[in-house]
Amino acid sequence: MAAVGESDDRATRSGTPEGQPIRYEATLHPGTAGRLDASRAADLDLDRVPDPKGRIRVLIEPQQIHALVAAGVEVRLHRAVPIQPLDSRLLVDDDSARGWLDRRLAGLQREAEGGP
Amino acid sequence: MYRTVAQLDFLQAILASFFPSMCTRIQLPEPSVRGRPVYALRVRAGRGENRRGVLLVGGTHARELMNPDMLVELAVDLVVSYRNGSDIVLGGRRWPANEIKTILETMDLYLLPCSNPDGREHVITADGMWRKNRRDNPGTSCDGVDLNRNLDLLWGVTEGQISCSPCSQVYCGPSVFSEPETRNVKHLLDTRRIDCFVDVHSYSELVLYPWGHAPTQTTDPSKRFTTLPAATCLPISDSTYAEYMHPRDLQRFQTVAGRVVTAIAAVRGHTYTAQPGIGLYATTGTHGDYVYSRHIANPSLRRTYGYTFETGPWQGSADESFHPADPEPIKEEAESGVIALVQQCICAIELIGIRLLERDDEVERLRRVRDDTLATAVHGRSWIALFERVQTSLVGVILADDRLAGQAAELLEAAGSQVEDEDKVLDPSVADRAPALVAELAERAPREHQRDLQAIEEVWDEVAGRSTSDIIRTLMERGPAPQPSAT
Repeated sequence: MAAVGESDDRATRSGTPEGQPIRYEATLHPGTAGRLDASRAADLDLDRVPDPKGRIRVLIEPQQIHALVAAGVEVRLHRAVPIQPLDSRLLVDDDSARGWLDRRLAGLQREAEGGP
Repeated sequence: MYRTVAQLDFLQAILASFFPSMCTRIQLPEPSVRGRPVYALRVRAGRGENRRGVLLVGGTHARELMNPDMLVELAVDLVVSYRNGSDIVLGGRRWPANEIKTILETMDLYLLPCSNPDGREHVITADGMWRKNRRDNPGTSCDGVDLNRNLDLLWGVTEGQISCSPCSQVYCGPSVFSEPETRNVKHLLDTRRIDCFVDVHSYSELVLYPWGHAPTQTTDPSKRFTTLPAATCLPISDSTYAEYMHPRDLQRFQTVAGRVVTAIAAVRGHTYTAQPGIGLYATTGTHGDYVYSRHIANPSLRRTYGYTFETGPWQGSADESFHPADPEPIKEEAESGVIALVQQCICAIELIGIRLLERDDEVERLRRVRDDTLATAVHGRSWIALFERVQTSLVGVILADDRLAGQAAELLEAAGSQVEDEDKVLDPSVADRAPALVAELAERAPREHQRDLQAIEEVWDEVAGRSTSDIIRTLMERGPAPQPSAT
């Protein structure tokens, strides 16, 4: 089976209604093309991520879905994963980062006074 | 919650500025592919050169956000523990201050928390699921190289999850070590003494060791990766190929990985799985395997034991698994695993020999007996495993007591002299002193070591008054398991 890993880093045309580029989290299963083992899965050159049940779980873009189905692979989509920055709520702001360090080092005698 | 690249760098800078005797920030020779400086941090305490070294790398894959944070937090915990004399408490696992003190005063720890700063920045600003670095691959719209496929172990051999296509998320790069980020890791390996290595990734709750490109076998030394062609963009042609590993090394990998798993589980009950890398999927060009392969490709290089951790469980989606909303419990258990691995890297005999005797002649002789003789037999390897089990906690006891340290040094010197002559009969004075030392250590040792120390006392009774060759033959033929009493 030819590799279907050719994807464009830039926004895909078939994104969200808001025009946001999108990829999907999916699992791949044997379809009309028959058996789909680890070796064949590796040949697909896809972004494979660990799966709790040992299935072939991938992050794929829309054009890759079309190519996989055309190649006889069954693609089960589990969720949309917009191509977007990390949720900003998961980031530490600078004040919090410094505050954490200050609390951890509180009471310790510095070997040399003054910061960097 | 995750720190930015700038915050990670700043934290290292603060530690180096405030505690210069313990923390040295190292700007690595090459900026990232997009021009960012890359920093490592050496953490140690006290004086003394020629220490065993451990290199801990995080952030190789950009979207695996937890691990750079974990490594900088580990650095802070080590400094606070040493300066305060306080234990490091990670959930249900307490690391006593005296054990941390032993680690820091006997080892050099090199932390490279974020080896791929461009990738981390891209995750934060553009694509939360980005994996590679940010190389602009010429002639294609696809950016990035998978930094964990770019190292010199069967580079470009597309065995499993690795690709020669620039658009693949597992692209190995245009050439081996084509990326400055991997060359920085190689620089540390080439310029520092590194005995143990961990590349920390996420997710799947795994502790991995070589080999990742083929099943491991311990019976056919002719099956070496050095005989295989690299840079082929093809898989290994022999589908039955299995890579050789010396049985002693396999035992060591399994033993250490098991202790890491135990240390992780003690935090909050999550049991990681220890296995060869190929158990996840086949790969080539990875950090952990490359590190271990170096001494095989070039016998003049030191043997370095390389591991890969995959921290954190499946969380219901790839997004949540790579960067969970609450990474704190995962970071704690990962940190406990890293400390366990560092502790397992201590070698008591080397420590006593070089620090107390200030020479390594005896160490080298004993190392040859261990590697060339004992390690070739199942029972011999059992004795090696026993020693490696007890040494990490006993070395702290010994070094903290000048009298015990002196006795240990004398016995090490005697042992080194003993093994030089296979016909030499065990000196009666040594035959008396050794069990006395073992008995005293048994009084101070944790309960978990009592059985092992008893096994040493029992075999000692058998070998007293015998020649070197007889002693070694006994250890090769009889393992440390308690012998049934005669009826």
